[in-house]
Amino acid sequence: MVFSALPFLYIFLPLCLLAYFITPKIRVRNAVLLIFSLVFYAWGEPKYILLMVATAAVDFFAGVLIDKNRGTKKAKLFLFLAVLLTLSSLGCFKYADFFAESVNSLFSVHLPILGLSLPIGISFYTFQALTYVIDVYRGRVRVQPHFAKLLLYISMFPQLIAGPIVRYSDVCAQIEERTCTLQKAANGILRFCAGLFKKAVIANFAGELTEKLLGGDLSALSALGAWTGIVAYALQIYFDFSAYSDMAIGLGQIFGFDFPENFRYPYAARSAHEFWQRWHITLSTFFRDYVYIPLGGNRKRWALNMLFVWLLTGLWHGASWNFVLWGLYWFFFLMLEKLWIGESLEKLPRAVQHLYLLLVMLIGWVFFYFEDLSSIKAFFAAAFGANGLVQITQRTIISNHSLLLVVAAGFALPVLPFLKRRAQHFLQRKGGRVMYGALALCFCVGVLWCATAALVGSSYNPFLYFRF
Amino acid sequence: MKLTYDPKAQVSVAPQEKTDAAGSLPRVFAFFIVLLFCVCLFGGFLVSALDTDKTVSESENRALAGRPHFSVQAVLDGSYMTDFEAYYTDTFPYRDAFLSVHHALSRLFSQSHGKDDAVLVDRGDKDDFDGQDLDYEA
Repeated sequence: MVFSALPFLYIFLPLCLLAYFITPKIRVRNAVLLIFSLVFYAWGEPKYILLMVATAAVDFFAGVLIDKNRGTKKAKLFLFLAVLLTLSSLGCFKYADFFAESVNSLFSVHLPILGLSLPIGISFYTFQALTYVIDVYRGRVRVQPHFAKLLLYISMFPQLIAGPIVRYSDVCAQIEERTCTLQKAANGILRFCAGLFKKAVIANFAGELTEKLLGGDLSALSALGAWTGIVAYALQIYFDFSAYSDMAIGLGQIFGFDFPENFRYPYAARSAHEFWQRWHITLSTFFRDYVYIPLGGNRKRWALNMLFVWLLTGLWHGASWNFVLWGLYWFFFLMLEKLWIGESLEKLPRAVQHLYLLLVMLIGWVFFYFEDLSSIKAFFAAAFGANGLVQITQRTIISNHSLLLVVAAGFALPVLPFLKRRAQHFLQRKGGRVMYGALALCFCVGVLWCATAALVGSSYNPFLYFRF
Repeated sequence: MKLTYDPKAQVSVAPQEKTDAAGSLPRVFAFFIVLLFCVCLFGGFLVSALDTDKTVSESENRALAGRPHFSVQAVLDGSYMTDFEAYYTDTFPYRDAFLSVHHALSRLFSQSHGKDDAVLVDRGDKDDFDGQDLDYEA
């Protein structure tokens, strides 16, 4: 199930809220949340739910055994086995075919292609399970003696399928005890509604524009169409991804959890380094704390460690060479800033720094969107004018979407926080607070209404042809 | 390159989190937000559970998806869930009103009318559609 589906909004969520808030007992609430989370996952993956439960079981038993054998070599062995088993499910379902296909084409052998479909959320929940078992080994968190609680952490439906990657240490105390207040719930609702609007309305319309421009014949793509297309894709991917995090964090707040932030206006960054402090934060900090630093961090072979981390970051986003290329692309710019242009970049006017990052980021998304090298080449040819600068149909498409582009850009850049800072004095006064509250109320209802309409509209499907 | 976190960057660029600071919601509005959200969700839930499902969409000239048959097999291969989502979305209460809001949004953001305006007739799998009937063999 996904958040942006009508059965989730109008069946699953009301029933879950009702069952959750019917009693204040934390044990019952945890049980409700666990049952609903399992149903949530099984709705999308009726079979692979066993894989998720098995992953949780492996890391649960590993945690117990590591704790029992603390300080001995056995603890290390159990950690190694747990990490290996957890990652092997990811490797088997996500990377086996990619590896086999690559080896087959390189060495003309015939490794079997498994053709397994990717279980939903596997890239997220395996990492979450790893944070538990590794942190138990490191002594940063206490071992969890109840399997149901660990399973609740791994399967909790708000963050299950698209992050943020919540660490066990972030929420272990909250699983035992958490407070639900009216204001926290109201803020959570606002956050959830904002996410719903970003996903169901803005991201989907931006996706439509991307498809219209980049989804067709690239040899007919004008330079204007190519650049607008990739801007639309950048907006689509940001609104889609950050919307899921917003909805997850908002739902978490409603249930009394505090999940970590995942996006902080990444497109407002001024360098590649800063971009990655603002984009998918929980992933980059995961790789920092669980891969980069254990490898030696800044102390030894740091460049090699970086290369490894960025290869993994690329591969994490998808099992395909274009993602590897995308990871290396960012590695290149991070190294470039570190070794060469970083300091001189900071001395440039801010506008130039923003322009630099936007250009680097946009070109980066080209490797993300197109999966094969020939399309990437065709896109760059189009972007630099090989098929003309402007083409009339594409210009009409773009001008039809001009309001969308303006609105989306406004929300992707920190315009709202800027306005809020400006109005701070006003908001502290009583009248200002009342107006803010009224605005929030209208926003919540209006956005829910628009998002529902957009979701209903996704089924608007007039038949153009007879189906014989 | 350090992948370290700059705590200053967090403070200065974390406006998404600042909801609790200066402009915190007055309690009464927090109450109304929670109330209205629940009214919308539970209202949607009850109305969609109690209303009678339409079988045909006049505005699209097509048969709407029907309630899927429940079977263990269909649940295990996931087709029940997919069919149920299609059915639920197709028969959502006040669907035509929501569709007109969607068209307004489409006009605003993409100047288009959903997928297309030209509509022909589809019989679907239903026999209870007694609108214009075309001779398929013609």
